[in-house]
Amino acid sequence: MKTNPEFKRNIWLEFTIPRIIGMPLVLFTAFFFIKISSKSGLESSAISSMIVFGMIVFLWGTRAAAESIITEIRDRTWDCQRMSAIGPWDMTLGKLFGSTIYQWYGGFICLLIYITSSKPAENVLKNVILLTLCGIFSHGLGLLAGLLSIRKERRYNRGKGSALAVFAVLPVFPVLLKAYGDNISWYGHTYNNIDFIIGSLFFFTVWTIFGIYRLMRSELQMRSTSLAWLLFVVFLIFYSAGFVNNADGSYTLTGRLTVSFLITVFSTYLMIFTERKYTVDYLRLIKSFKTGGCKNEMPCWMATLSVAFVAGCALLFADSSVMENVYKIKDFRALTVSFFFFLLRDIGIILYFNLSGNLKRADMAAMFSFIMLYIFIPGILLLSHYNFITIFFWPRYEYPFFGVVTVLIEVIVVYWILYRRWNATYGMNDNYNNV
Amino acid sequence: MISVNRLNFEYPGVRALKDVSFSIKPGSITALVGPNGAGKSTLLRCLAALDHPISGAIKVDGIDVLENPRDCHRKVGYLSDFFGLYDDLTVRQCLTYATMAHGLAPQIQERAIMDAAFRLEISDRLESKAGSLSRGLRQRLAIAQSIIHNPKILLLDEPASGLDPEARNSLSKLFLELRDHGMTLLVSSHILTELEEYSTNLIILRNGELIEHCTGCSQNYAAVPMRISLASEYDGLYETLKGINGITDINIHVASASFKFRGDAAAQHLLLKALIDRGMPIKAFTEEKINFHATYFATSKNDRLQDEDFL
Repeated sequence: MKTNPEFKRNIWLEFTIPRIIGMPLVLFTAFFFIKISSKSGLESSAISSMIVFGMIVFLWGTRAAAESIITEIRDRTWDCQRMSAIGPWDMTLGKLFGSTIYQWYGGFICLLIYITSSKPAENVLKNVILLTLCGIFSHGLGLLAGLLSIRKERRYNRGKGSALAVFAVLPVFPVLLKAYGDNISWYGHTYNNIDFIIGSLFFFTVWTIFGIYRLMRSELQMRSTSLAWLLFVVFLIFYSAGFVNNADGSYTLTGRLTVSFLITVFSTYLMIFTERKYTVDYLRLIKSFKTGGCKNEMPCWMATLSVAFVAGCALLFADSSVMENVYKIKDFRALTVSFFFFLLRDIGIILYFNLSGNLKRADMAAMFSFIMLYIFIPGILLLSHYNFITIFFWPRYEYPFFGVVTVLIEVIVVYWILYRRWNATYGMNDNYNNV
Repeated sequence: MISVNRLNFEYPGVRALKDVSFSIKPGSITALVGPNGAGKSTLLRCLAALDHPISGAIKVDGIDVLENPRDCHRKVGYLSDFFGLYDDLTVRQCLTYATMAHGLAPQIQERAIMDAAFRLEISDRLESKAGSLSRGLRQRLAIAQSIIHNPKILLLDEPASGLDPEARNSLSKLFLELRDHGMTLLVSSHILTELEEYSTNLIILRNGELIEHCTGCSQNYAAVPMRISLASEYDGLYETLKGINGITDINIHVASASFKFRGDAAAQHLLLKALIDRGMPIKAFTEEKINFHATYFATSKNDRLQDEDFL
């Protein structure tokens, strides 16, 4: 059997004799202490084992997964790995399961304690599967976040791993809460909550691992298109639309299309903030539009924007009366157009800051400008009773016509300024003509 | 072996390489010199298919690096200026990982490890942790990792920085040995005297531009600079030398002459014999090494760009 070099290296690093002995020694001592000090005996062992599992696997493990990539940057070993013959799958699986192998070692001891101290009537097996999937999912998110962070900026900061781990582990807790909540209705069918969550987690974990694989391909200088990301967006639309059900179990196409549109808008924002925005990449993209083959150069946010456009157009042709009646929206179509124009305006603002040359602070500057544009300025206007002027800052359903016109003007102004900055830097420079 | 055509690279807002073009023949050692920020490391990273230039073409052993970067990775060994090692692994584990990572078959891994360790003189340190090694030994381990898959091309970025003179000397010997085994080396360094020890070609970069590519010093493929010293004056020295096939660029001094001669060691022997047969009172017959200092600073002067930081 072929050995995964990255997995083996991690085993060498993680499984030293003192650590192999140390983990069970500490855990069994802790659980024994809990058992003899608690009146409820087995029950307390089961609960505490799940809590300790969460601490070891979710918190510690996710941090280890996130750091598995950024410590390679810190230790300057990443280039060496990139130049090796290790393929993207081996690298993905070797890092995902190798960097967290020690945490899984502790986690499995906790699960063993949980299984032996739980009552047979409880959903022991399902809980074990759920916890294990949650662990892999949060580790995957941690590694994915680590990869995205190094693609944007190849720099190691102390505490970066922990920050990324917090981000990656956050989605796990609502998922766990939902698993022990009410039954779930999806596409008109009612599912047992834990079964549905296990199924959902499985698919999202697979997508996360696939996302890591795609990023790993790019890191190893292999060409990747935006297709995989678009497929994920389509999956997300399909998955989310299933929750749009009326109280009587019926559904409206408009409701589901609205969710689809909002998901594509959110995905576009997510990708434009997470993706690298080097101007040379855009120079290559412009060239590829002229020569063909732009699918290799197109950033994911741009591909998602085109899907948002399609979803928005679909929404324009859907029956808007349902939304207008239920949510008291004057003109739902105008609101949809406003939303899309605001998205376009914001993309223009982000690109404008990224053209400044100071990429370290470009996204942060864009973020601050959005906080001003979406929160502080309209907040001040509202408090000053200038409600109408907020149409410059929010998609307002009360003023459909003026809402669309004002944001369209904003889009034109932002892109005119962007064009000027682009031209000042690149447009007239002969050095770039051969790019 | 390496061919670069109109290479341009840009970091956000900064053009790091400007229309760089050159070619390097197989079995040579090329010195890549230039002041800080000249683009040496960027050029090496582009050649190693680690960074993607904005335009231009790179071919390494016939492989289009921009089209097939993964194929290039298999042919090239690369040691960055801030090479990294896994400090908690032993030297043997580091080398074993390198063999596995480069896809060497399990049955040849042990031999490759022992060969690399022997070449780099770290056989006695195989069980030591990488983190416990001295700077020189760490350097050797990093080079051992880079050459363990026997690449055709080895790119080294400041390989001798921080090494003591003894370690530098053994590094020079190693480079010559690797060259003799058919490897093509491109070495960037600040230490010109050290480069003179083993380099046959010279590339000078400044502000991202190639300002000099000297291949005349190549011992195998081009005319070799030579010098003869005479015990006494010899009439018709210039005419005699000019009449010999393969000799060019003759400079006559009082009792000596320098010229370029195209030919290998055997041809040089025949040349010496021919000169003595013609009654020339030769007391010294030497192959001149390229003077990197002179070439570098002459180029700099011509370019009217002096950099006082540069050694």
